[in-house]
Amino acid sequence: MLSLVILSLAAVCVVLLILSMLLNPVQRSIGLGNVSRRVWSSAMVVAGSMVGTALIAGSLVLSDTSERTLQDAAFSHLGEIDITVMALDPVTFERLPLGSSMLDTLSRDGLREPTDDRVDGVLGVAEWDLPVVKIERDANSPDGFTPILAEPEVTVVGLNFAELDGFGSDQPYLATVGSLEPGHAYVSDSLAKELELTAGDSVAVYFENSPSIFEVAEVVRDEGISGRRLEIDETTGTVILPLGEARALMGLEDGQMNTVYVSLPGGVIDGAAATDAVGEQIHDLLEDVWPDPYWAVRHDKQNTLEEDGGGPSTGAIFLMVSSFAILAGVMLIINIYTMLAEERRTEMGIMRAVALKRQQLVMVFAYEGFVYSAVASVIGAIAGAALGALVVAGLSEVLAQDQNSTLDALPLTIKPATLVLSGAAGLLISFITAFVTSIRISRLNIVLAIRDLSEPASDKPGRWQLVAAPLALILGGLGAVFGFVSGNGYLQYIGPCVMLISGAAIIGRFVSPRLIFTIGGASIIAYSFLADRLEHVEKLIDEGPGLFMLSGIFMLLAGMMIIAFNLSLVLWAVRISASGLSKLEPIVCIAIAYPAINRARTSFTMGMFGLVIFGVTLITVYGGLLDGFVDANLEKAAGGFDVVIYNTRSNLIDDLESEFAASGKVTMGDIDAIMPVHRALVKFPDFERPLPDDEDAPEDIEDTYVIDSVHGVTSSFVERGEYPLEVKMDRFDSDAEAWAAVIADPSLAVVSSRYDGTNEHADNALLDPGDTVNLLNPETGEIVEKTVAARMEQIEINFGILWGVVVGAEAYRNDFSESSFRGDSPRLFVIELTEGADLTAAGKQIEKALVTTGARVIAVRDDLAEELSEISTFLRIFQGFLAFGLIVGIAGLAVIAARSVHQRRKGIGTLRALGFQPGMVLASMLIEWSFIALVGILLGTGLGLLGGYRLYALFVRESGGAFTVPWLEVIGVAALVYVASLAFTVFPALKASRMPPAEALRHQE
Amino acid sequence: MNNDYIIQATEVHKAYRSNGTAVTALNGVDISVERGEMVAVMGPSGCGKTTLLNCLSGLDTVDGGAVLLEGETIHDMPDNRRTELRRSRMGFVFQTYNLLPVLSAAQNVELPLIVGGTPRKEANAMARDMLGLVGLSDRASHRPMELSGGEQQRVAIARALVTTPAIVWADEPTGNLDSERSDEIMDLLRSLNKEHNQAFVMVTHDDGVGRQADRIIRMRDGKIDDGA
Repeated sequence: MLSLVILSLAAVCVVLLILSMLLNPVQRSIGLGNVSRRVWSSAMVVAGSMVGTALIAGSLVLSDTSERTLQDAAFSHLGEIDITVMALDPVTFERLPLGSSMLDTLSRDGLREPTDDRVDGVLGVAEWDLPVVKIERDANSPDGFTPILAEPEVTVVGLNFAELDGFGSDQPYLATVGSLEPGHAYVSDSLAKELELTAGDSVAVYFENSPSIFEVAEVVRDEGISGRRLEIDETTGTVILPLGEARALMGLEDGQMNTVYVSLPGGVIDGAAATDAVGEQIHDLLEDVWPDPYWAVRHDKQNTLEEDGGGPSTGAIFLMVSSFAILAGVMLIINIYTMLAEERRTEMGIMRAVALKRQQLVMVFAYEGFVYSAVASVIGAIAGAALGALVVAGLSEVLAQDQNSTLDALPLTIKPATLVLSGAAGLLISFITAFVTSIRISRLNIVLAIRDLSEPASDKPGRWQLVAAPLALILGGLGAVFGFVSGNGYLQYIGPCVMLISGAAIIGRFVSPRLIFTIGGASIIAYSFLADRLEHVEKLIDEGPGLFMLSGIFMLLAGMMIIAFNLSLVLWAVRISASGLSKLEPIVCIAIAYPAINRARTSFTMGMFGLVIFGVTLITVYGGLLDGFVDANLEKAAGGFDVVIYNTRSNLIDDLESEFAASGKVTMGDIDAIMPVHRALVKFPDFERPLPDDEDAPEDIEDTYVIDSVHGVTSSFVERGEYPLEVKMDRFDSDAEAWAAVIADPSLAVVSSRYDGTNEHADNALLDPGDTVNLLNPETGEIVEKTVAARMEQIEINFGILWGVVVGAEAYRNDFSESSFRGDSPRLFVIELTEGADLTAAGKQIEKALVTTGARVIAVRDDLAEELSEISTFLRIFQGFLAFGLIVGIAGLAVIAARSVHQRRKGIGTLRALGFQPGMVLASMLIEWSFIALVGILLGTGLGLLGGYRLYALFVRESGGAFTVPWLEVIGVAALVYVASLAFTVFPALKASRMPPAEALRHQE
Repeated sequence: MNNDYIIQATEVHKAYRSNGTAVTALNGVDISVERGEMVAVMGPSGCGKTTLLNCLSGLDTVDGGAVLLEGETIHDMPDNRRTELRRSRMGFVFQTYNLLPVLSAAQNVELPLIVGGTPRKEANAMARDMLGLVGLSDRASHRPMELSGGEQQRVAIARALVTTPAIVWADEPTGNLDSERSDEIMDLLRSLNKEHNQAFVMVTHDDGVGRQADRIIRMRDGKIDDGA
């Protein structure tokens, strides 16, 4: 919708401009003449105007690439499958077999009426994520084969090939490959690459620790059913088996399946559109007909297309982050056009004198601005595509290094429509800025302009100020009231900020503007900092970066306000400090005088720097916070254990030590202790989950019980683990004592920090030490009473080891084993290595030893380091993207410097006539621009640090992490930008200093 | 060499290149100005009046001939030295005032003093005295854009005279002023000229201004028009 509006506005703008140009040949010829008359000047204006467009185009290219990635994933991994249906055990969530009666309900005929005939195909399958091993047959080996390569998680699908033809509107790819002979399997291309498989090779598929051997009939494409992955980020490829053998492998009886694929009408992408409605109908039908199991109706494809539920896409995040730079670009354009107009005052005065009306003068300037904007939008869109391509290449590099990623590279997608859209957006921004500026500057005094004399200063407010400020105050007030009444976080934040700015503009007419605007600016910064404490604002910041970014922009505006109105004070201080330095005094005097008098331009230029530096600093600090967060929690991560192993349902491990010993692949001397953790489902009959305000919410009271997990741990686990307690019963002197009591006394339990009354899903379940809590075993219906011995601290990096309720292993066996997630087997194991053991090597050995079980093995510190490295690379790409925005600041200053020299030629000539040596002119110009850059950099860096502290206060402080600033990086960026700014301004400064005085004084545009 | 002359120029030549063509601005000009003398340079537009002023004051270089200030040749001096001479021995008044818009009247006037190393307080006091002399005591802290044309030109005159230069160059000093303001400015220049015994060289189109000078030098086509 927004795209349509932008394109329409741009089209209307272009058509009107061209028509206007055709009807006004004189203005057209003057306007266009100005463009060709000053090639270098025009080039500079175009360069400044294109940066915003390039950033928009770059962000949109990333957005397209991200969308295409999702579509590719939907196409290859899901194909014609829109919905998957499974019956789960309501307690253990294990997949249950679907019998023939259930499959009748789920048949195409069975679904026709309940779904209003919106189902295009139904396919029952036997599927499971299982370990798959490439083997070589070996008669001498006890198993009859030697394993070569293995993958712990592969989606194995057994299906009836005869039913494939009726599945989906187009014939599924797998149907074109043909059916399988018994004892044969198709393997997907991705799996074949991992296991180096070709037709004729043999693979062993493990279920319940027994291998079944198949010969690879053919390597097939990862497409549709043969691209199906149960866990898209964890599973490596797909194996297709004949249905009968898959059933036998997975323990299903004849006629049983465990999953049903549903295809909806339409192609791969558009088929997903009706998923929500049809999925709900199927769910309702199944609950009506078969109320017992828990029905999992998953909208896999739609979820994939929406990037797991519609969070902001990569492109949207880049667009939000680059909004700082785009805004800086707008400021640059305003500055450029204002300066351009100031240079042309004499010429414009003459034009007004000889015939042109004010509106015709606006036309001349608008035509010229239009040409610059049009050229800049075309170049900017192309430059943006190149920028997007660079970032995509960087992201692909990150993906290539990520072993868990299913993608090797991102498909760079540059759509012509996107380039047109970004070009149109850039054109509008640039042209509207030029147009508004031309209206403002057309109000010149003809005589003064012709004589190149200054306009007299006026204390009277402009008409727009008299109307706009009160109007903004009223709108801001209404917005704030509405925001607080309706709970809209954006309005709660924006309303008061607008009121502060407009209020300052009104009161500043009567009382000292410096005082009022300083108070107003400081209030906005303070409010931005404190607004996070408002409930709705906090929620918005939790949900996305939009409001956070917006508050950054408001803080920058407030900073600019404060600087603009206190500039003379700062400069006065600089001047006083320079007095007495006889050589330097006149130089400093001139250097600071120009920024002081051109307050708007100076604060705009400083704002340009501030905006982009703010973004870069914020990202840098965020990276530092992440490091600090991980550092602060590293010792406590995963309870301080070294390796975590998650037991899988398909190939359970009961005794890990025996498994290691049998494999002969693990150096047992490296392992200090192995500790099992059991987990079961538990309900709290005394506490109810808050129900949503939904009339259709289940009335069955049992469904509203708070549900959680109960864990059974051993004495070794609590002795070696790092699980600090937040509060404990008074009788315990130490955490260790409390933990030991829980292991020894079956009536005691420890609860996690979510029972401190702050958990929104169980806000009535406040549990303190000494409280008695009833725990319901959902499988047996028995209720056991436990006394809360202690409440754990918040576990920041948990790796899914411990939460909910913790009891001793014996109490667990007695009270909860029937509802255990893995039966008698542990849900997971944690390992402590011996002092000095190599974590990486041990992790790899364990992975190899357990590969045929499909167990997931995490070497905690390695995993954290890898994740941090990926995030850090991603942040670097963000910084790189924003660095392009820094060009706005640097190029902007260079353009402004060059134009200043041009504009101030007479002034420079006068200074030279009065005795300024060339070196003094050079120094004065460098000091001036250096001062502007420095203040802008300090403003951006300061507010970036403040923003970083807000992030820390919001997300990190409670976890015990320190507010760490990567000073070296922050100062490095600031210094680099400062040096680059100086480097870019040296040339115009040199030009100014070398200008012959007579020529400078003679200057007329 | 006559020590009574503040400026002496002989056979001064100056040409500009415009679109590849050499345009002669000064074609062998001889001119001398005595201390305390007020000279008006007059002539039609494009005759080389401003170029002559620029070349004599060292703002511009010459292509040929010699220019001497108080007996010292300045036409072949390095730029730094010429700049120093301008600061210490010369004052300038321009048609468009050329005040620095970013400085107040007092700051504009004190600037050449500060450039010369006069301490700020002293410079400020001298600037205010000079502004008092031109009748602008109460406008010292105003910026140029807050002053009328006549007031701006008085500030420019104050700035030109504050260093007590040996010679003041004035390029169309009344060109942007109405006749009443023009008369005021000329009266002021004349009185200062008499009072301080400083030489004034004025480029002007205005016969009224010319009549107030001790001597009128007429120019035509880059030469002194001696009526011959």
